[in-house]
Amino acid sequence: MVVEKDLTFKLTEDFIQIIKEPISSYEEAIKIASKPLIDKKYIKPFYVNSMINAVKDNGPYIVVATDIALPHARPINGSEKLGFSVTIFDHPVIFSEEKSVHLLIVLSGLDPMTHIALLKYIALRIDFPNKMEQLIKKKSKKEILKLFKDPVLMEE
Amino acid sequence: MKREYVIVSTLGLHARPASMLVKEANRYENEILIGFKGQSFTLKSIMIVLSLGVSEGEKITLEVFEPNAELILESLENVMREFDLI
Repeated sequence: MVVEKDLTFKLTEDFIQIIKEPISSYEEAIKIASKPLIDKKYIKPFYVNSMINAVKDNGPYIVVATDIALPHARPINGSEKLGFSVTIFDHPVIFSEEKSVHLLIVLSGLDPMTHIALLKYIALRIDFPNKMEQLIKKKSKKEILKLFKDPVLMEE
Repeated sequence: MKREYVIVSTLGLHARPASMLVKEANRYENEILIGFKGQSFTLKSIMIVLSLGVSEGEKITLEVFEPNAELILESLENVMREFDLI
């Protein structure tokens, strides 16, 4: 069982982006949100296509809460290192008629166990609607970093 | 009505099946709980289900309160089978 302390990735400002320009599609948004992970060789470029295809094939299940999507693909599809990137879009990213978001967190898990641990880590930190709303409005990299460093009120 | 399951999917209870399970649970007004490591949580929130971090080989329980608990439990089991979770 992989638990949080085994997640060696530490979020830094290099993995956080704030995009002010409107974007044309969710595909473009996923590509933009993946850029820090590609640049730092956490994922291979084809991982991005796998994430986009997963949404095309299965619908927008990656939209896990109001205003938040967690794009990801299976680790075998080009994940090189454990990590994630956080991107806030000033303009909404539209996944379907009912589902649009301002926050994309791209996940790169190395294997099924770390992928599940990563989902858990993120879910525990973003399950606070008011907090997320404030965060999206503030659009500050420092605030985002703080959110991910905050301890969470749930037992392992 | 409560039943126990072992998650056999190598990916554990990952995002897509979890979202489908939560979607199915939300079709009903009944209280529906997922139990994990001795604690129970609502099955109607994707964030809660993902925060459990259920991996391959781990046990969960699903508990559905009446009415029609057995039928609802079976529909949830069908979703889990469809995604090879159980």
